[in-house]
Amino acid sequence: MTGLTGALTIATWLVQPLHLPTGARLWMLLPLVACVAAVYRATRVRTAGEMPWATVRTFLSIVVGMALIAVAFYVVHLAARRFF
Amino acid sequence: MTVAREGDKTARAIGAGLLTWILPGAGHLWLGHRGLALVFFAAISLPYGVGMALGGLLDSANPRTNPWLCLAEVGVGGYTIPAYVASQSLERRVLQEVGLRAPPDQAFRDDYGRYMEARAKYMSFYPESDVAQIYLATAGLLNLLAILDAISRAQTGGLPTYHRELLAAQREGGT
Repeated sequence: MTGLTGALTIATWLVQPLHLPTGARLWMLLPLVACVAAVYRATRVRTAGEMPWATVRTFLSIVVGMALIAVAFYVVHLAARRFF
Repeated sequence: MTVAREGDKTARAIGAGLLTWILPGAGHLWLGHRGLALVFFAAISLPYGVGMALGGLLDSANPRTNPWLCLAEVGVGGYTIPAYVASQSLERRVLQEVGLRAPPDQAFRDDYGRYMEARAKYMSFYPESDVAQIYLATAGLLNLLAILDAISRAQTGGLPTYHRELLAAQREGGT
């Protein structure tokens, strides 16, 4: 019964789209980056045991890299507004 | 003998790739890499599930409304084919609700308005639709990497896709 209720709940989620809380959109980046880092690292190791630290490093590299790109774009945006 | 072994390797590679296409991680599990199978399954199924929940079945696996997203999702065939079937069934239900046989042209304003109104409760809008598309497309493309990795491991006896880098790093490190 619990299984059936669970399956129906999941089916309802899929049929009627969920809503994101206000301000959550940016934070949705983090789980996706974690998944990308895990898959990227999994294609470069012999066993899953070699993954944890390498995955954390990749995750941080992507997040920091994207943050720097965002800051750079923001600076360009400010400069464009000021000088053009 | 060598030809038979090469044939075995090819069959294993095709099997592993096909299993991964059907279910992320299944190919790795078949090859005996249980830990990696779990990683691939979780890291691909999670974004796919979240994307589908945010985007809704109706438009997330619908080649008529979003062909490029559908193409990206084909990387996870085992999820996308059932989602496509469910999406088509939902589309038929919407059409039945408004008494139409096919999606109307925008020129027929009344029919089109009723159709879109019935459709709206199953549709996702900005910002959820954007996040959903990014998650779904990423999941589909990540599974292509998983498929390549499964094929590589089947052909090389357990070495990952980028095994040349791994072997070079080990040689440099003296291990």
